[in-house]
Amino acid sequence: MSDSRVEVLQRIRGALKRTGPADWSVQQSLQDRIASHRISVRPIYGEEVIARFLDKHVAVHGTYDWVDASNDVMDAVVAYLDRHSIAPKVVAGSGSMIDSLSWPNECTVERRPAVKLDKVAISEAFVGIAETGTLVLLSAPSAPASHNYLPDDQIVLLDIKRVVRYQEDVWTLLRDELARLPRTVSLITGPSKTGDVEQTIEYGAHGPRRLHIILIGS
Amino acid sequence: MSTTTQTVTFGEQVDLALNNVSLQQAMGRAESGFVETRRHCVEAMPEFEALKDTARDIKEHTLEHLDSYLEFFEEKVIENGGTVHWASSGEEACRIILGICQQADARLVTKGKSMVAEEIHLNEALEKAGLEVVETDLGEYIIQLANEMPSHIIAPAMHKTRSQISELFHTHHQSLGYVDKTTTREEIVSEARQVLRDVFVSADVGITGANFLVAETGSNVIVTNEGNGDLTSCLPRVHIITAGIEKVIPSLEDLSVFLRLLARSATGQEMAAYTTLYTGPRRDDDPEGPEEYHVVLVDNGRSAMLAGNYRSMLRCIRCGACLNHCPVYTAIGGHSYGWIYTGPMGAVLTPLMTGLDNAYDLPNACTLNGRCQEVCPVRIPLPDFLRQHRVRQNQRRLGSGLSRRVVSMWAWLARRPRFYQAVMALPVRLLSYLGRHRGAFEKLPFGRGWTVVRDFPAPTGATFQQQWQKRKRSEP
Repeated sequence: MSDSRVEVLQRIRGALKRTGPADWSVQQSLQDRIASHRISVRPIYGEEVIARFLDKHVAVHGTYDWVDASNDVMDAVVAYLDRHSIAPKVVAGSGSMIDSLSWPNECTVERRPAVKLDKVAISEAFVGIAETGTLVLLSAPSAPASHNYLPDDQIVLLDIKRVVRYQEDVWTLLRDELARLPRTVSLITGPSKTGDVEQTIEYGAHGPRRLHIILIGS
Repeated sequence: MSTTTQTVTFGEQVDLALNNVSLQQAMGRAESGFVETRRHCVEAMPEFEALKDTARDIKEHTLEHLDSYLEFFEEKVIENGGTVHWASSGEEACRIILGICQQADARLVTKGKSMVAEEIHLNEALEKAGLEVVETDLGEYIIQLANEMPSHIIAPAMHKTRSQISELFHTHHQSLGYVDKTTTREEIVSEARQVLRDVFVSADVGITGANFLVAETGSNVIVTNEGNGDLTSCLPRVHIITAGIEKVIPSLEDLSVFLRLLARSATGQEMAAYTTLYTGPRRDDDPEGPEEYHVVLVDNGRSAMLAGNYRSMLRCIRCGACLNHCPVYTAIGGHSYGWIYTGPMGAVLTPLMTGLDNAYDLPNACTLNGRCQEVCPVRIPLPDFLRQHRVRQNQRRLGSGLSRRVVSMWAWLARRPRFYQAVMALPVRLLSYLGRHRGAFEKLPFGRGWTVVRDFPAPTGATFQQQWQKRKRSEP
């Protein structure tokens, strides 16, 4: 195994007309380039971020409720489950928004990774990206990534103050707010879909058939 | 599966493809589907061309320092608890991956779509050792059931019609309890979802490709619309990532450049549904996630490409835009190309990876119309590469003696412009005279390929060059 490492690196260096690793100063300049977090070209847009975010989210077949305060979240969740005739049995992640919910008695809430038969998951977004209507979800011990991919429905809570303009803003926030990059950083734009049958979009391929955001705040 | 064992010639494949009604029906959707949606999406972003320049520059920069960036990436993967393996060849990559599977006592392996895995014939290697391998991308799953190669990078089963898929499912899923034949798109997708769900949750090992490897963080990035890549990455005990060595990019900011280009170029989306960064195995308090995280870096001819004239081919991000915009590809479909890389990028890559003599026809099955280069998100000069292939083939005296003699005659003529014009004017005048009444020909000597499906319009008397001269003279 290590022989191949040497061999592949040697061949690459040969192709680059070198015999050994790049000079220290060159390597340092490459590390500096990474650390500069230089942003190149971004699509300029003038719209206000919340409007843009919701427009883009709806354009990729997402749905949303917008509530003023965290007290109203539970009603929106229950209404959503009713609307789609989903039994009130959910798997939930954790976080300040989810933890503050007071669940009605008829709801069963389980905090564990998702399994095959789970119908609905409730998650909390790290941020939303207005540029593309994308949700960013981070895995954590209390927020298993399987919640994003296994259930039929995913409900995501998003704090209105956490909608950023561009994708690069996410990288900045991750660096600023977390000591370490989470194991999975999921950028989710609309529900699961496939174009593999007749190049025509069909929703609900392997991941959630529906993606519903509850936007909190005014 | 390799080109070297192909018994049917390219010409025969093309004839079969053009006369294959189902294939023509299936391919007919490509133009309206991929091409139109991409155009709308690109037109909505004025920065697109500038983005292409940036992406090209980032790739060129990374390739120029490829060894350093791969080492940075490796260091970060290890720091996060993962393992990096280096494979010189496809066989070695298969050996490494099989070793990991056996070490983990694996029986069932799920796979996300990976072109590198196709390239190195990974499924065959694993199946030969007794493992059950299930493709989870719907398109890949369909062609696995049909026992075929992918015909398109993004839509591996685009050559299949709905009724063909319906038949395949009926044949293979009856034993699983799906007795009724599903016919609508919705039913077909839903049945695949149900069948594969059982596979996802019971797999021991998940193998995915990587759209990008980020040196800054040691992450692999997977882009899908279905979510199959994520279920393959999250659920099994072991996650193995196969990636060509050219997949590394420096930073997360660089990643954003490519994400803006990839989905737009591939499917005309601003973002695919799922873009996920995976960094290492499960962490201390994680209740789920793979216990092992392996990245297998595959060379398999790439470092040789880095050395030569074809370096910029390593910029390719496998979006498939060049396929969708190629009139030859859309007419004959991917299977005619004889290998997994198809269309313009395949016609460049296949001869490089399998040898010029094994893929003689591919560089020649091109009209040099240049659409592939126009749409390429990393500005690979594909037509130039195809022309270079032709030159090298000619230098190495590959191809039929007749075709080479015809080309040298033409070359001799083309270097003598006056003579060339005089010679070319003859048949034009002759045809113009013969066709003066009807204005078209139903039959022509050597022209059956044309006249069998349509009439050949009679020339109106002057050659293009003559008309050009005349027009230039009449201009003020």
